[in-house]
Amino acid sequence: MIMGGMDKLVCPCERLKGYFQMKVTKTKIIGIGNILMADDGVGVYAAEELNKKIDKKDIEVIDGGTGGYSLLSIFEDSKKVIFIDAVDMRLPPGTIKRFLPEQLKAVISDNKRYSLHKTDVTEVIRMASLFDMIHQFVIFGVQPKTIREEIGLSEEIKKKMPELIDLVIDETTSQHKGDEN
Amino acid sequence: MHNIHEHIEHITRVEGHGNLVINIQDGKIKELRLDIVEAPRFFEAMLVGRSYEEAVHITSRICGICAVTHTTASLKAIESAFGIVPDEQTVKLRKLMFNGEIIQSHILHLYILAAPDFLGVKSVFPLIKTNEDIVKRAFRLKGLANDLCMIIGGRHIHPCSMVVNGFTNLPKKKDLSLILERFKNTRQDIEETVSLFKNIRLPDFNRKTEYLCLDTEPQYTFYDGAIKSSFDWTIDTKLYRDVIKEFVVNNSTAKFARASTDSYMVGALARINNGFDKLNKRAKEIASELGFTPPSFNPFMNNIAQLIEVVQCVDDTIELIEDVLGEELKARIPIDKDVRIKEGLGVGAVEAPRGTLYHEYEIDEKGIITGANCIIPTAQNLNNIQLDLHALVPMIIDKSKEEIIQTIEMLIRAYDPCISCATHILRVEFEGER
Repeated sequence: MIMGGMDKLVCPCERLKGYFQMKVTKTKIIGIGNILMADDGVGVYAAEELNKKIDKKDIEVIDGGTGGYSLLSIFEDSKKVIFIDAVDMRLPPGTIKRFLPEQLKAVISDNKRYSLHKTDVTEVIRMASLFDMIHQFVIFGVQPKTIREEIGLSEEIKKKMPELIDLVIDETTSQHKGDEN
Repeated sequence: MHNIHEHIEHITRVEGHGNLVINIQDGKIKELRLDIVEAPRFFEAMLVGRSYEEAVHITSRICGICAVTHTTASLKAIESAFGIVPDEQTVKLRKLMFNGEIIQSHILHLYILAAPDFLGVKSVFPLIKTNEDIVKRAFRLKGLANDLCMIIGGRHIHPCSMVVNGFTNLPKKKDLSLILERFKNTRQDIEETVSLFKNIRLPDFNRKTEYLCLDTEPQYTFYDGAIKSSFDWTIDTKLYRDVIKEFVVNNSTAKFARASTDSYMVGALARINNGFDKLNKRAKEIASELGFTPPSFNPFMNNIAQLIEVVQCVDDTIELIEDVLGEELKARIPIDKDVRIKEGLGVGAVEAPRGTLYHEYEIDEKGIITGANCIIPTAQNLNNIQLDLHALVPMIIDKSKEEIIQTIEMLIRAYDPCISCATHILRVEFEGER
């Protein structure tokens, strides 16, 4: 892993190819999360791994960090966006689940809020969908074990990383039944 | 007299990290409290034991909205400890990054968080159906500011090109020229934003308090300067501990802060109250159009102050880019040769969108951070919000429960609080599952 324990910290985005210019690509894979909060950063770690393995002109892998609404301008020209994120599904740690936004119950609160610092990916997707920006969203949720102020993933999540990477790569090449919308 | 006993937890989806407690019995306030956990406290411990080079990668991840300011405060603390004074080009590029961050953060707050209050809707989402143009304008302006940060910072989310004493990569002149044209063409969006907020009615509530911000001559500043108080004193940021006193109170996990008196305010309203004369011409004209006269003691005016700052930053950006384009951008800075590590203590203070942000590091002779202290703007505003709430509620106590809660929430939103963005974890339930 890129940031285990007290190893020297290197910004993962520095290793991501093309990080200085956003490309207009058909598919964007966006890893979401905070690498300072243990398993919350699984999406960012996955993005770095995927960058080593994916070398296709029409696919871009992005470290989305905790970008919130700033993510909108990253994927506005894409046909398909694949998010990888830590998701609390109340399942055993390391469980990976692929889902589409419409499979979720209405989890986005319409309540007024005090702060924009908690914008999650479903809100961004909802905003983008209402603007007809994107053709298809897919989320790969990973059930975290540990969410606390710590750098590095828990062992359970590290073990599942190869499987997660394979699933996301498959997603870029295959069409899932029932996804057409 | 009605009774209100509410415990509102939707400030954040992480339970216990931000709660508003309202308990009014027979028209008397029994309890009125805003609890916010300050995430950056935890990051201080994370910095200790790390090399100075790693600090930037940690601090840029503290916040997705204020990444430029956290990163810059961190870089300035390190540069101060090492005795490094960055060159003019670096400072200009950093100032451009600040303008980008202030614009995108204020626009997001004004349109997404504050506007629904004034347009009578629950959130921004209903506006997409009724006022699509408004929401599109918000994201157009935010996108422009994000692109400015991307051209210079490498990315607009958690920028990565900013390092001690320079940038790892420099923006291309072609990209700067293109964004300059976009900034010049943004006048209509700005005018329409001003029109939108000109017509809003803010609650008539005033409470005199102290305002603190950074101040420098002769310009309006976000990047540098000394600490200036509306109580007529100025002090070097290195001495911030002499004037800013942090304290804890019962029933709250957050640290509060005070300076000359019980509480003070930081952020756009503080900056404009203290530095109105330094605003550029158009920002002053817009302030007049919006009915802003300094000093304003109405915290709800922080919304208007943010809009004035957006205008300030747009015009300042045009000027700065033209300035940068007029010079030859130097090639990549030889970072290793330019940074001479030495033992020391350094303070980095900047103006984040929400107010003054302090990072202070103790660094040993090998460049390892041995001590860190961060004070975020919201922590400084917390006691001021609390005192505002206690002054405001008796004035509206005869209103309906809904109106009281709505006004309290609007007050808190006016401060644009930065509540832990340490984790954003999504909690979901699937259709068809229990």
